[in-house]
Amino acid sequence: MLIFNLEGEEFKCPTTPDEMSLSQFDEIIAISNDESLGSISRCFKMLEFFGVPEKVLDNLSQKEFVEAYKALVDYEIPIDIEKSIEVNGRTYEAYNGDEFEFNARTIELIEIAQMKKDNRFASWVMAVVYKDVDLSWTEHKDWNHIKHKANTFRKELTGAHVIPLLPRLARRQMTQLEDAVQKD
Amino acid sequence: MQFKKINWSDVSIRDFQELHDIMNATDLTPTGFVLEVADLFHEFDDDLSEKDLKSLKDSISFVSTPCKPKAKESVNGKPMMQFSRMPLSNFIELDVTLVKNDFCDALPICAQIIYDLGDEVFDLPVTDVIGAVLSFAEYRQNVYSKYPNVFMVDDEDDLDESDDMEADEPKQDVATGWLKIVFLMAEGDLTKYNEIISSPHILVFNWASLSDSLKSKKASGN
Repeated sequence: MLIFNLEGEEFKCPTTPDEMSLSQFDEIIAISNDESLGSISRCFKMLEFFGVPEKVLDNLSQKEFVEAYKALVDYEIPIDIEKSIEVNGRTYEAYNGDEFEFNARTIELIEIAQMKKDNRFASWVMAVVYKDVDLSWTEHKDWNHIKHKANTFRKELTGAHVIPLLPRLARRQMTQLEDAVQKD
Repeated sequence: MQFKKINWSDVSIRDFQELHDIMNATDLTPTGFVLEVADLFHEFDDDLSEKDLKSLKDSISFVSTPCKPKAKESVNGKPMMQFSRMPLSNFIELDVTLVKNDFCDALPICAQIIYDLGDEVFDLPVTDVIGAVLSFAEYRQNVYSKYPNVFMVDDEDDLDESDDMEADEPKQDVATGWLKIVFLMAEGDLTKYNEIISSPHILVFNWASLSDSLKSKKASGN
């Protein structure tokens, strides 16, 4: 957490995914993926998003900026995917057996989420991967249910929950690309 | 889990029509596409693992390969129609079907005529059916080029009329074109209609061609 002072007032800025709500983390991912911005502009935009006043940003020294930049991009990534999470008294599970694996329908649902391009990717991924243990698979894959769950997760969970899933997704896409290249 | 590799020859006309719809669907993701196509040929659960998904995908790799059609002399014990001997009615029916329908919808209708079959054509391999339909299409093209004067339906009067037509006005369709040919051959006599369309199409085209040549000669005074 970064703390900025302006005329006696303190401004707190979360820097690691566990300090951000899933909703905030979605925004941070969107800013990180904004190719129209350079890396310094991205950092400023993230600080702005967290409510750091313009006056503070305008007067930031080079040292302070480097410190903020490092805090925002350099954090430890949790590796283990949580098997289950509890939100508002309900239990959601990511997998049944010993190991996490994306199943075919989950991959399809994630691809649908990807096509939405609505800057809510992390929330969709969480809602798709974590299944309410009291619901059937048919109920789980209903898009209205997924939407409701994504909205709940956005408020109740932090970005840290989704972090371990992202490298797995990236690895999957990499394998797909390699397969495609090999076939060509 | 290992899924059997599917080839084009395993694809029935019914599968092919569904495949056509899946390929034209705009809301499918890459994995959604694989699952939808594979669902036509295999049984699998929704919780199919990622590894099994790969095997499933490999099993339907035929979709990215060209289909090699091959006409069969007979299917389900029914011989393929000898195109050169077909009555005019069949020729017209096949021609109109090919022109007025999407190729995918035209396939079973044409196959029913070509092999004189019923709804069982939907179970035939698409390779056989496309082969038969392409054979007819090739034959039809030869007929068209052999009788250019018969198929030049638009005479000068028609051309003048079409010049006057508004751009959005529907053009004369293929069925009307055929009706016009039969009408000319029957010299407007409705009682001759059945006789003409059940005659061998080659005989009718020869007759129409001769009649046209004689008319032209008469008109030029030779």
